[in-house]
Amino acid sequence: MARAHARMDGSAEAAVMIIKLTSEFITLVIQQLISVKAMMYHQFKMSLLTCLTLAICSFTNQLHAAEPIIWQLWPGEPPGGNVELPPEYNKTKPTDKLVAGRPVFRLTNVSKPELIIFKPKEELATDTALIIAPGGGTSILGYDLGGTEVAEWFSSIGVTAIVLKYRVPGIAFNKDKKWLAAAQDGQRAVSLVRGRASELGINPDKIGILGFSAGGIPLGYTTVMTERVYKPVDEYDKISFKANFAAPISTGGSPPNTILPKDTPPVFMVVAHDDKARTLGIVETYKALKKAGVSAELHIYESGGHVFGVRKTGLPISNWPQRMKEWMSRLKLL
Amino acid sequence: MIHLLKKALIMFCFTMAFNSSASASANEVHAAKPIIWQLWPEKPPGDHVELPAEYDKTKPGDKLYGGLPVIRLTNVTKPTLVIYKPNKEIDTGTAIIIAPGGGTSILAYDLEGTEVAEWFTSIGVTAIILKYRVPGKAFNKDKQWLSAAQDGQRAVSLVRGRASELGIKPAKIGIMGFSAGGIAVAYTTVIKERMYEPVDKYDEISFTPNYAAPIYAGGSPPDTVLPKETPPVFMVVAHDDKNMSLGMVNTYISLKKSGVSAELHIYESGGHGFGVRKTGLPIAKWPERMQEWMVRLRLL
Repeated sequence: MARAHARMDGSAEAAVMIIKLTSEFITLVIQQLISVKAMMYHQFKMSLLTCLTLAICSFTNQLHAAEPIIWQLWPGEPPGGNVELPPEYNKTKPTDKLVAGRPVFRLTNVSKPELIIFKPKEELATDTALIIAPGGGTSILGYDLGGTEVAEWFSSIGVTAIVLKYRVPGIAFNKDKKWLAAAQDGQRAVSLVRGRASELGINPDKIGILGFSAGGIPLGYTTVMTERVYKPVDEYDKISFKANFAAPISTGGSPPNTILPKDTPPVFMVVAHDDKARTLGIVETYKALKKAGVSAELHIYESGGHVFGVRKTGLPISNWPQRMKEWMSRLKLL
Repeated sequence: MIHLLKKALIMFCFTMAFNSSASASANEVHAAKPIIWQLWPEKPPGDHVELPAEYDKTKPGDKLYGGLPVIRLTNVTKPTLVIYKPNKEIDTGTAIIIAPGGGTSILAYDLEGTEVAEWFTSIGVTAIILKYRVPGKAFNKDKQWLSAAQDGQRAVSLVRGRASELGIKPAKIGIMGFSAGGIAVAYTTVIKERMYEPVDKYDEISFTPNYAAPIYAGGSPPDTVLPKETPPVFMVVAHDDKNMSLGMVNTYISLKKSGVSAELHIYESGGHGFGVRKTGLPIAKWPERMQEWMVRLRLL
């Protein structure tokens, strides 16, 4: 709600007016047409009002979500050439698992990778950018949960938030290397954003990457890998694809005794203790970072499962964005 | 809608003001009169040890923590429990035994004792400072950890045995230890053998706490196997605290492999010895993380 309030501009004030008017209208209609006990009537009115408020809040949010800048990731075909797939669609069925009471937009058949760029309001804007790679096991993208909702959160704290809509299902692009399309798109994304930083008003040395679950692939390939996993296609590929900070969230980790490069950028990690054995991989990453002398922060929360995004689940882990904000402030990224 | 928001804001401010004034006055009262229990009915385990009187070793030029000096208490020969009760209106019935650090040679008595106790009473927890014997080597030349371990085990048994006197629940007694205070934590949470001969009926009562919070404490060696019935553990350490985080990560791995509930926060910076002081770093907010964790575990 706080965010909804913060976003209240002209359109939202109009929305409030609409709520007031509609409320009076509902009152009239109900008084005229339905004869129910006062309490019940009040409850009914309140629940109608709540629905309406939610609808209008999401409408105002959509106004913001409707204005991202969209960049094609590749000038022509992506590496490996065009792959014909049926149109992009949301795989989620009404019976699918909810997260914090809401469905997840599970996008698939992404053959034209893009950057969806959400600029913060001018008065809040820092010169920091964050590329956000949704998860989805390289077969889908959890596009709202691990993408637009996260972008909205980061833009609310002044960060230029860039959703990396990488190619899925990975297996359709590289049968035996289903991670490759995500890795290529990730590396390209950092090079392109850095190369075109001035167009976005961001600092080319303050470009981070955050990945949920399988979004850890583009993250890994832009933070600890040194080899570009595609042939350069234009001038942007002369620019470093190494992120300036990285935040793997609920991602896989490293095998024991991994050696990571000393010039790995600062890393911020979040994972839930009850997310199967995932924490055991993340702590190996942590150990490798510590041993390499790399700046790192790790929050393992007692519970939270695998999928939470930035939704308010009521668990302490759902405050992780605050932890990341504090960490970014400490690193002078905010 | 705006009106509602305003109303909520006023309520919020009022609540905040009320809480802070209530806890401030409560703390003044408490700080003035903690309940003090002798840990042992007569002399503690081991030979009688005569030491000069207890004193604060800190000199004016010593290092400051969060801008303030630290009371570095030594020559503690009579271990005691220093008990701070929360205000009745907020009392949750949960207790926490707090073991200060100090490398078994001193106790950082305010930084990792009274200041921490004050914070826990403000959230409704009965806070009990474990004033264990130091310097450890004066009591056991080759086992400088032993007096802290014995005093820790005795503390849990005694607090649980006399829980009703404090109005606390015997199944909601936790222990937290800073740095060397981790000895008292380890010997009560993962060790099963009592490190002293029972001295009275309280030593028939379990010394395993119901939750544990080692804070920048030493961890375990790699591949340590911890018992499945280890109570839930909450850990905080700074990434830049030498190699301390690597030990804690090993403890975490052992807990995970044993299926024990655990939470671990490794903050990017903070060093060693920050207690609950407001250093301005994100790690200074760890008490809130612990509060959230305690709520989640229904301890609050």
